[in-house]
Amino acid sequence: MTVEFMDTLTSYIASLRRQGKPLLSPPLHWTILSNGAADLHDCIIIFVFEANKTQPALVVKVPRLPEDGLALQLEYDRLVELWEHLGPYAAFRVPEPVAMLTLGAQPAFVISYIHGESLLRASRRKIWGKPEKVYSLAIDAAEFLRDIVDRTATQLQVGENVPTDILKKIEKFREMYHFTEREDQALEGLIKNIESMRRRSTHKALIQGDFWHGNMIRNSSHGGLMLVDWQYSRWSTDVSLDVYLFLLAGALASAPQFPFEERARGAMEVLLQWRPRIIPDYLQAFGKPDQCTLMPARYGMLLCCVEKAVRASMDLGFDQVNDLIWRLLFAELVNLSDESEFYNEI
Amino acid sequence: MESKYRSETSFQHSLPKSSSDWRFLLPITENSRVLIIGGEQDDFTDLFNKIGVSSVTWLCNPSAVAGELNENNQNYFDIVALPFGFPAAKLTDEIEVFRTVRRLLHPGGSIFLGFSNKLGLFRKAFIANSYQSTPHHVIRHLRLSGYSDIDLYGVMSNLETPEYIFPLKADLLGFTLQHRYRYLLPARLLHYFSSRPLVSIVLYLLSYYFVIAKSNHTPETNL
Repeated sequence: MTVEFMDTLTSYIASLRRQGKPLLSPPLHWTILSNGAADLHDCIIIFVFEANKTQPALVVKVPRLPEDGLALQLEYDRLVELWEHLGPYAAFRVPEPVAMLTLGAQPAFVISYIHGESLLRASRRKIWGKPEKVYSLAIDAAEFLRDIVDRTATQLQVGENVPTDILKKIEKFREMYHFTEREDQALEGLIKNIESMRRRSTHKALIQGDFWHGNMIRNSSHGGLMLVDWQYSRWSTDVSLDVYLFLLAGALASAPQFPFEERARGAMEVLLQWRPRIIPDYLQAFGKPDQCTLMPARYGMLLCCVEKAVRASMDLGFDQVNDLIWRLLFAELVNLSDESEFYNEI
Repeated sequence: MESKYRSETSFQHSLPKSSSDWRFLLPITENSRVLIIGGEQDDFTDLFNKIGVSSVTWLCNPSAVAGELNENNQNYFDIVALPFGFPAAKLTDEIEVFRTVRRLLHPGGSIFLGFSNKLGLFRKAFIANSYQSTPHHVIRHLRLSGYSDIDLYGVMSNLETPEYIFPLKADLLGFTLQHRYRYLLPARLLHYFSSRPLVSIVLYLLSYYFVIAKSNHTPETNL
């Protein structure tokens, strides 16, 4: 055989043991999923199969560029922490972090495979545009999220300062785009809100950082939601990013996809349609966090737009054209007429 | 008038035209000397440099492979990759190209080749420079040309940016079909298409393949 990376990887995985027994039965087989077409900063996904099995046992995420291994290391570390906090219950919520490897210079992150239906692909046909399905998913997602927040909430130590780079992100957002006066005022309001929330915080929780339907899988054995892709996960005193991103990403998925301006406008229309029932019931299902902070929707939604609009630029060092949608949605959210009462009481 | 948003041209694209994930199949190290042949633009040199492989040569025109051969680079390369194949008017040309590549490789070096299957189901329109053959012919001609340790991989659904790459095993193809078409085909139909008896036949009727083979440890002069 000439396939050295794959050989080294499968040999390593074959040597993994749990409670003295091999984790998987050799010989192991594999399939590569070239995730994200040719984007150099994406990972490829390798499915690893046990002998004579038709479904994978493990998934390996391998960054195309070794320099992007840091994000995987972070994901591994966060998942390990999450498993410590969730205990045996973790297996029903998130993939198990099995190993973080460096083979040669090539990092590889090994996690358990989740058998189930990816909502990224299934939701196009089955959920968006069907209010009852959206409602049901939203309530499920809110309860899931609240559960994770409650189980990971940890009291801050005296003098503990949970690091956040949100102010840097707002600064970057301002560098990247031109803003109207009204938008500038909204950003100022967001900064004041963030500072006020930080002063009130007494606890931190592990947020996922990219809580949207594309990272959810409906498990085929127990039927519950499971959440993958924890590379943006972090400790935070405020849980607004996860809570509101789910709504915004869902609205964007429900809108026409092109051109961008129309997509942002369409997403705003979807949010307005969801406003009477889906949004308040989603927020109610999440509930008022007892320990961490949650911003009002007006600022929480803007926070999501800023975070998503600058993410690639700050993390990867270049802008992705698709991130422009978040800048456009920011404008829609800010320019919502005061008479719309969209933000009242949420 | 100043635009409200940054112009689209200020967004750099991180997307090369061609994927190079096939590199994970190859025994490439920092010291490897790699020759990549084919493709419309050099998407490869920069990537290989970024992963620490500094000795990479890119040659645009697969027809010029023979022209690459000179005293300086005989038995020079560790890897010669033709991810999109080469134009071959007739099957006997295959042997000629394989032998030429073998002269470029040092003994034990690897050839990597992508090709479309003449017998392939659902093959897309002919791509310029795409090499058409059959798994049977490629394996036979590689053996005749002095290669061994030949491994064949199924590729879906094109050679330029393949979505799936897998060793040719029925169960792996079955899973790949399930994964690829789960949300596109009715469950019962997909179950039938990905059943073991059917995929065992389809394995050799795929549209695209990658093949890797090692040059035998015999000096070129013995050919």
